[in-house]
Amino acid sequence: MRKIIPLFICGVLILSYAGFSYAELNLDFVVPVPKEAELADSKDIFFAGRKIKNYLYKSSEGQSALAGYYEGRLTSQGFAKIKDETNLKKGVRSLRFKKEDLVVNIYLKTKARDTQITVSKYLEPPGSIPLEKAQLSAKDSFFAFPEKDVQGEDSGFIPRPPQGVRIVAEPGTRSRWMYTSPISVDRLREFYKSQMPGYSWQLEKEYSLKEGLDFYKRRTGKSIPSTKLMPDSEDIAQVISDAYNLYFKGANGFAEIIIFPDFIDRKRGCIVTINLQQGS
Amino acid sequence: MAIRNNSSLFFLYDQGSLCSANLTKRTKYNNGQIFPFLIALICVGLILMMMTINLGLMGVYKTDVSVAADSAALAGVSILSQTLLGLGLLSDSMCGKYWVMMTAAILEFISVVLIPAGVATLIALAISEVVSYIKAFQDGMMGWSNAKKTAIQYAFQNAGIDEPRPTFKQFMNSIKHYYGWGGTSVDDLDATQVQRLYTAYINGDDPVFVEDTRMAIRSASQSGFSRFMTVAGSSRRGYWPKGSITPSTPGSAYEVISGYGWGQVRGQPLVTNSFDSGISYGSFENYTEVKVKGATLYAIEPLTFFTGLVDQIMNYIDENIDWPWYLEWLETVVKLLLKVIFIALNILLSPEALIPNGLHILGGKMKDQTDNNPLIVEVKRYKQDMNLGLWKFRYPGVQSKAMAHAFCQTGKETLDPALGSITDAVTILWHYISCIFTPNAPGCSKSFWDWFDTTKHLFETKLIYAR
Repeated sequence: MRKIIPLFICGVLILSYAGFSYAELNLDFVVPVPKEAELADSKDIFFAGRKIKNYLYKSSEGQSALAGYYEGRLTSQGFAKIKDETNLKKGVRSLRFKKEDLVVNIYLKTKARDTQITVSKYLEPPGSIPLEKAQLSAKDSFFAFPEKDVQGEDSGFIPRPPQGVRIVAEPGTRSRWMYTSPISVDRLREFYKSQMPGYSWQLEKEYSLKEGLDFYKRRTGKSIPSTKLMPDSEDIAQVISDAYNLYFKGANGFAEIIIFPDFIDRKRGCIVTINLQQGS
Repeated sequence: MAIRNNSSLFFLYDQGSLCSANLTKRTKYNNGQIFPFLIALICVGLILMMMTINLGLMGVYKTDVSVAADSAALAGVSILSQTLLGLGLLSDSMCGKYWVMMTAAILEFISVVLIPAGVATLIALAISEVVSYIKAFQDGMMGWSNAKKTAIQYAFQNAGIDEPRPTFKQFMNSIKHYYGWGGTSVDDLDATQVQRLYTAYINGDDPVFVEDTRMAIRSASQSGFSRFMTVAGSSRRGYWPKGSITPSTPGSAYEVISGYGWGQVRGQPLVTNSFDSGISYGSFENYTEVKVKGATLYAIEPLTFFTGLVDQIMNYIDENIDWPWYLEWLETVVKLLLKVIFIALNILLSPEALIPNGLHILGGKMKDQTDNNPLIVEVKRYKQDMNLGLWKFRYPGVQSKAMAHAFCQTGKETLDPALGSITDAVTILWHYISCIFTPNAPGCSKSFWDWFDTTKHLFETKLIYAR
């Protein structure tokens, strides 16, 4: 019994330490911050199936002092330095530390009199592809369209697609809008064919790109090659082949509505481009 | 008795009586000699008159068909000239759209967060430009079909078709039932009824009726030729036998033949016309035939920029891209995203799959499509020979032929867009991009569309042959 109690206490301490350590080594691990540094921004991104947390700090201290600070603090916590590169041309220094699965990257860049510190952390469990060798994926955040309308205004002459999110708004005599919509190509095509007459537009011509590309190939011998931007994204040639182009004529000029499936993942819906040429 | 005496005869002779008797006999003989000459003269006069009438009528026909052929050829090529101008403007529009959207895509790539929007812009551009090319091709086909249709229309309108409109009595017989007088003979109609029908005959309309009846009244007051000229579809033997012309229908054939016959059908006691009866126009005692020959389409190919452009754009993006702070450290992602941009550009701009950015005549041989590509119109007027017993009027088919073309007056006319050369295009593109960042710089007040000179798409038209 005398032996069990100390062993129990030791076990609890070890487990709690391990648990504490585990808590430190996931993405919640708090990377130490230099005294004079101020948090300017933070952004989470998804790349190669993993989440990367990024923090931007600004400090008045120089790169060397900051590099020394991070090296000292992180190595004291058991991190190993796995990278230390300096690019004099760009004026940047990049340090990378790793402890178990957690990787912390420190990117120091001199901007005017300040040093910009980018602290990034992500998990790299054994067996996972190193970040340097990872490929882009359709699920990466770089290919997510905005979830809310970008700045600008819709056209007052042409309806926006149902549940659409504006991703481009270029005003002018020849203006252009682009929207994403979760609706299918066929339903969007029907939507515009039924709605546009109510806005005083008349359908002049409807083109199916499936037939259009056949015609183009017959006349020119050229075709869009079957290619994907990423291994798990859609085939661009197929996306274009499934597109429709609607020409409308109205009192305000000409409108061209191009509807094609989302080229990253067609399950996400469609992309609608509206080209409006005002005047005759 | 005294006059039977010889002496008396001599006396009479001396007195002039016998002389007078002999002279009378001689005078009568002379008159008889003139008569055949007079008959012959009258016959010659009649023959000359008949010839004059015959030749005169043939001359009138010849003038009519010449005017018809010439005006038809010129009217037809004016449509071709308009078509070429339209194609040139479409070419400019394609090029302008290409650069505007390409610039937008590059700016979206440079902003990084809008890379997907940039790819979407490129895809939309490819779709739009391919469709524009198809549209241009169809417009070219439609242009030739319309030119032939217009030529046929002008030829018939100027061919001097002298078919009379229906008489008032024929008109009354065909429409009186609309007025509820179907059972009444036209001779029994009262003055008010006749007056009402006459007003409808003169106006070709009676507004008290519904549209269908008004159409029937209009039709009954017109000649068959007027009805023939109002129908362009293939279903009812109108002047245009090739059906409706739309962008999606194939172009007309190289040669289009149309004809209208009227009067009596040879060998049949039927007086009608080819439009109403459905009988071939060649069977009628009068007919006019129009043949229009010409190409069926313009040999247009898409104008494209190729080798080097993707590399130039990539270099520009690489030098100007401003990676956001959260990606700057991640060189892998930076390289991969650049690769995605490169793939997107390359898919759509590679030599095998070029996005068209304008229109170009095949091989650059503009004259092959204009000067050496005429519209030919032949008009024939036929009238059946008419035997009057004394004289047979002969009307061998009077024909006329005319050729006209749209041509390059200065030799610089083209369908190529204003920014068709890569050097000009890149210069202006950079100018346009720099103006986005420094809008107050000199020259930036100039609209992007001011760079386009549309006068080089203007083609002249002329008659090159008339017989």
